[in-house]
Amino acid sequence: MLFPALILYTIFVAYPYINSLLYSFTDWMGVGPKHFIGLGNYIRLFTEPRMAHTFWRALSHNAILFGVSMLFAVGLGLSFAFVLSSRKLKGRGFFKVVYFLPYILPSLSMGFIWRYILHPRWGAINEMLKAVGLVSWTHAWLGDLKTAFPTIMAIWCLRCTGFYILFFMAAILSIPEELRDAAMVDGCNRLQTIWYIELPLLKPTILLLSLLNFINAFNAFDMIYALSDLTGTPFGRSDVLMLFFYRTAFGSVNNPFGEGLGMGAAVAVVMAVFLIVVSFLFLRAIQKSQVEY
Amino acid sequence: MGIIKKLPFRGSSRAVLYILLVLYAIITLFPFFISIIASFKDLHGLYANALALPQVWHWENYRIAWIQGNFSVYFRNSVYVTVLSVIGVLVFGSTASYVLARYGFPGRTALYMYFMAGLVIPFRLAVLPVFVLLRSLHLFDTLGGLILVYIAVDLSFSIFILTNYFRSIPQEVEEAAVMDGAGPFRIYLQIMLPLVRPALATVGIVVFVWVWNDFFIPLVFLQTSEKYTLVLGLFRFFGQHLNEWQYVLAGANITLLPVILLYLFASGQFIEGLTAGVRK
Repeated sequence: MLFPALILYTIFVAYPYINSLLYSFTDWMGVGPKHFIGLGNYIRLFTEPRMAHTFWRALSHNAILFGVSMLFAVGLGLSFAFVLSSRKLKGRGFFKVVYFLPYILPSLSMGFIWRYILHPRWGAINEMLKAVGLVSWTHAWLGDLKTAFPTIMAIWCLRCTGFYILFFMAAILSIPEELRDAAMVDGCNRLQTIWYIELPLLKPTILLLSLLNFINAFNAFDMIYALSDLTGTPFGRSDVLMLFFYRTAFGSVNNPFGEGLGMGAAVAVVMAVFLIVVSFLFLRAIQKSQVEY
Repeated sequence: MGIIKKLPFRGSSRAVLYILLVLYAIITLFPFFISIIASFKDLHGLYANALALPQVWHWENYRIAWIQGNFSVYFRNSVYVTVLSVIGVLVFGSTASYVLARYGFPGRTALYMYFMAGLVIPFRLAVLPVFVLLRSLHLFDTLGGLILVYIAVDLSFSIFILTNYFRSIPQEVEEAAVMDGAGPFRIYLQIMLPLVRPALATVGIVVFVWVWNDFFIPLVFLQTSEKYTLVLGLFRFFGQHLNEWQYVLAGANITLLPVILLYLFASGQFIEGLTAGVRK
């Protein structure tokens, strides 16, 4: 009964991970001959100016996306969760259902919808700015070098925040009431209770969601593809690692054949190692921060 | 009486909080409102005012997307792939979890960790060898190949959830069945499966959302447009209808609608399932 799962998983998941590593040491284009070239792909990735420049730029964009979403998706989610977990609040069920909605929908479709809303000529955002007399603020939000990536990040955060709100809410509601009551008896106000009692207890949850946010930020693909394109327009200002990986392996308009499967695999391995190392550090921190009530 | 019950936030600060909550809800719902009204407009309507309701509701935009845009084909493909993937994950995931949770054998923990590794490393980074593998199996550019990949990828998650759940069932339940002379397969099918139904629902919903929404895997593994899933089909449609936003948005709304409908029926299950995925 175990074997069907084991076989499927081994063939389509585990074995390919190892194979990625093997491919990365070859110059294989996907068809034709395959030669072992040692660390050639890795050396090229980090030394050839065009490759290295694009790689580091994409990585820095992922890092910025992570930082910004820590503040505006995880941070905001936590604040909203505190507000929403008050039981007296009317309409809590409604807010929960609404806030969670963007998270469960295809991000490519949501990306296209936002692309229309942000359209420089016909979009609703510019229309609203005009309506309130801020004509000078109207903008090619996704076309402008300065605003393209911040706009994408804002939409990205809007998608994830709901998930963090609900996750934090569940954690907050699982904190025993007595702890809060005790703090109040000792003269803490609501904010002090949050700061001294609840936040320390939520530390493992905060770290866990930070890890998740990290993985999400470095996996960004669909939404950014929909809002810009495969090359991260304008001029790579919104390029991220997954787009870079896809272009390298499968090609794009500017470079129809990509750099071949070998080079693509090398990019994948570098990304995987990076993700595994950081995830491991997070998991260690989470384990250390576990608390018992 | 808990503090939270007694004293959330009082007076004017409370009003401010309500305004913030409502404002954020409006921002969240805004894109759906715009997308719905725009999908019923004609070109003149689109150019006129993005915030205005359509003067005439052009239902034919949906017909054009559905028939000329091939969304009927994409829709069928998506339903086929999603349903079979969910069934596959549930069948293979639950049988494996049952064995991993209820039977002691050497290497059990190692095997469990082996499956869990798939939760940590993004599958996208293993996509190139799978691409080569599917090609050599003649499963590249087939829905069957896509389904196999989805089942394999989502096994980790389903085993994670289901193993925990199977473990929580008291040993006596099984012992009683053994006394009655039931074999392992019958115990699994007739006694254990009904008991883990909530966990099966969780896994089913999560896998449904993942597969339905996925763009990356079809993008890499499908080539001919007759086999496209909805999301990939929308992507192609967008490329062919640049600036014909009424059709693109009609198409986008078609991809959203089934998920939204299911969500409205079972929002509790969705929230529970998708947040349980990462909770220990």
